[in-house]
Amino acid sequence: MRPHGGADRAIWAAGAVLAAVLTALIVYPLGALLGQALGGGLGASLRRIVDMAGERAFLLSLRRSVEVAVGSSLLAGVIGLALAWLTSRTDIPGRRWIEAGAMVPYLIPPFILAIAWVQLLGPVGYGNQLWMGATGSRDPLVQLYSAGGIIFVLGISHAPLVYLTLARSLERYSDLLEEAGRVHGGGPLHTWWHIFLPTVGPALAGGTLLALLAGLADFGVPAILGFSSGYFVLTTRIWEELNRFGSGDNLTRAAVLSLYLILISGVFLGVGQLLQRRWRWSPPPGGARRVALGARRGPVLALVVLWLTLTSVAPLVAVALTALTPAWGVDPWPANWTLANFGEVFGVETARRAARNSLLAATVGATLASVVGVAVGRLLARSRGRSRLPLEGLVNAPYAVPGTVLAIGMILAYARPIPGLGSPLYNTLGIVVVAYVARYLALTARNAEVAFLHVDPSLEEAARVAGAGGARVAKDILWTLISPSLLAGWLLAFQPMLRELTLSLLLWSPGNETIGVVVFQLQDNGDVTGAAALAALLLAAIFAVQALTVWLTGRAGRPRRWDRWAAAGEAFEAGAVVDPSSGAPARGAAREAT
Amino acid sequence: MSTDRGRFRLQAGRVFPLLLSLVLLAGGAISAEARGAARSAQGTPATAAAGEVTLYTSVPQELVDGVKAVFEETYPDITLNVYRAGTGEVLSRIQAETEAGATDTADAVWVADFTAAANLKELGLLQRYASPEADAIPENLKDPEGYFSGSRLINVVPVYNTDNVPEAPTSWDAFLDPAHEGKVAIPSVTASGAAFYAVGTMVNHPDFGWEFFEAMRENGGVQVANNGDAVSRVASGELDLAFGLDYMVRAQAAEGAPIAAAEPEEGIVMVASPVGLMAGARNPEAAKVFIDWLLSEAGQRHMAETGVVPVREGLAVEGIPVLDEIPAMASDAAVIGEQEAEIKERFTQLFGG
Repeated sequence: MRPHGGADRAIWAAGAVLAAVLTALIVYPLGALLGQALGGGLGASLRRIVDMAGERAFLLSLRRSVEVAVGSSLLAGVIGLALAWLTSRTDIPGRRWIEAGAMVPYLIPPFILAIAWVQLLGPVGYGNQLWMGATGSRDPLVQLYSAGGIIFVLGISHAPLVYLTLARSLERYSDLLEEAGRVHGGGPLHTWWHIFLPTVGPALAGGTLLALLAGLADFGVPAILGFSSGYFVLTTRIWEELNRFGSGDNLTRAAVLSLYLILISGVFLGVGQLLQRRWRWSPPPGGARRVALGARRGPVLALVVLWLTLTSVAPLVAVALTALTPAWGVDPWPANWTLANFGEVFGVETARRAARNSLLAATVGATLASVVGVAVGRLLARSRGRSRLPLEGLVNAPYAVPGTVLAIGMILAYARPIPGLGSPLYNTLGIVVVAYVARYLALTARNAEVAFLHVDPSLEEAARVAGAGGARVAKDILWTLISPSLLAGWLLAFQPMLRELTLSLLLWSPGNETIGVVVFQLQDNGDVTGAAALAALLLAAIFAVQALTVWLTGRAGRPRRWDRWAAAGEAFEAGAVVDPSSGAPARGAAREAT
Repeated sequence: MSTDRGRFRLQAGRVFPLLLSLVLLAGGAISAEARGAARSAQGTPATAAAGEVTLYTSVPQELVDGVKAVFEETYPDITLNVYRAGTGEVLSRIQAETEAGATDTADAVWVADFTAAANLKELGLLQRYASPEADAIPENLKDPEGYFSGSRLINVVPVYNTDNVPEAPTSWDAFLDPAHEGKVAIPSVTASGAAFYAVGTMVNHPDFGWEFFEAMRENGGVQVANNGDAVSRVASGELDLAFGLDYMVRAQAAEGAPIAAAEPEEGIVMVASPVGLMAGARNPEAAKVFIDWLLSEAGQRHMAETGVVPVREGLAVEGIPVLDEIPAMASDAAVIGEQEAEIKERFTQLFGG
């Protein structure tokens, strides 16, 4: 039996509206980017692409992008693996605290982490000052403004991606094979190398791949640490290109650079998925006994605490101290503390306006992303197999490409007049919001899909058998069951929007700055203490939203674990980006979130 | 059963368009709110000197914040909207907007150096405005055709950290001194108009040329983001020496930072930061009021009190050098303007590669 005509028309109408929205959000901007890069005929565009490949500056930034991405993902892999193994497979005490500590860098926006590390290990950072004071040396101990510095900060920033993916996979870990290995005389190292590592291999590869893509896409860290040494990666080169006056074709060049960036991401993603697919195997189910650390428990714990203090606590302390210091370079002791920086920052209209703009953009953006996400999620939940791929691919695309690339697409699409409409979004906060929605729609859509999947169809049917109409079913069954996870989805989108830098920095206009933009500019202009004050407030807001989320999602009768939601969120992002077809870990994770 | 599903879909089909029109409405509301200001400016009769003036500028944030406050206090009917970014960013924004057909976004432009304003003039983006206040400004600090006028002097000087460098350098050659290896810097010329003008002046100067900057790079010289960044890194002791702006040094020194401006025997680089009226100004009358005020004795005095060197003849403020006493290197804005692309390219290859 086919639904009658009215229903058909309504479905078509809904589909048409959704298609129009997705076209405006995603297809048109990314299409405009491709059009700009490849415009002017095949010959001209090929020449552009080949010419670019011959430029020394371009080749250098290409190599550096890869260098930074590979280096930082390896570092993130090692850190993530070590911490995940310790918390999931050993009897180390205080596991929950370690988990929470390991998650902190995930909550700190990378560009703020870079600012914090400048305060810690920059040429006159607290660490180097201690060193120079102790040794009388005039030279800093480490040079943070370098490739190594960028890799270090990105590695720490992205380690939680690996940690989360691994921790999740280790929850289902079985030690049957380890047991077998031991029975056959393998030592602990042998077991670790031949059994543990291959078993977690796919998850490790997946997490490291995520870190690799994130490292390739990052803008803030190389922008803050790479500028003075002239160390430009592709994302910062695009930014530089956009700000160069007089070349005339700088938007085209930025678009071509973006194309290269997409290409490299694609190659990494393809290779990564290939590896994962080859590698995929399921360990036999069963319980797992934790490894007893024995006498090494104390030293190992001390090492972990030291590491987490350095990488998770010290950056926060540094930002807070600097925010309280009257001038950069003055000793950060309590005797010198002042609130003047906060007064100064909020004395000018810009910062107040930016705070308002960020709140408005994140609230409206998360709401719009949730609404569109529900529509997309419902469609995805109802489609199976290959038919879902185009829609899923479309929704994931703006999340998978680097933010810089999406921003260029938005500039090309909406910064110039649309025939008949003028340029209604240009010079407004609207273009920032549209970019936010496009970028984080992947999160809300996936979240909604999982929520819909968990609604047992028999419930809807039972309601109808009992005589409920469609609206009643939607309200009583669907809404009741999915609204908690919609809230989670809203928060999942709200938080990254609140702290967003890359899109905002390319799309802001007079009067429409966001907090990220102002923090970045303060730091860029050498106002280290002012940047720290605003960054401290942003961090406080981020941690508050996080606490609120944990509180809200913890009400479903499960213990409130403050790292839990972030874990769910990120593994969920991981699933969305790395493995759009299977989505298995993502679904498991999102279940936690609901 | 499939009918049941169909019925549900029918309902969902009604909900989606509703939700989605909400999306569009909300989206429209945001852009409408943000554009409200612009529209109200459009609606103001052009003859009344009131409403909103949008200023695109590369002068430092604190300076323009102060100017905005005092100007709006003087002219309560005019609101000054400020877009501030580095010179390169401001120019490329104007360029991008022009390409996109939006030539009416800014009313006035206030940048760091003459070549930047000359660029805009050549592109036909400025309109002539002979401010009556400009009469008190020397001819060499104005565009001969009256498209823009110098509004303040920013002097590019060697800035040094007085803790790290106890004896004041007497020459720019201090940047090449191995004693300061790895601790010397210059703002990027693509970001800073003043730095661009300084490099342009020095590469055309018989004492320096590109050899100077190559030697500086050899000595571990780096580029920094802008003048504020340069001065702040010298103040914190991260750098010994940097190219910086004199009034920033005065401001930071007044706050107790260990920083001073050297007086090199070759002279310093004097940059006359120009202000001009945009051709597509929506509110030219109010923009003219702003330009007049900026060049007036009141505006000049306000800036001088924050440490900026005024351009008006016969205006003396304590602690601020007087125009004709500044030992400036000779420079030719026209020549530097012609070499713009080459200078930026070469500098970027040297310091940004």
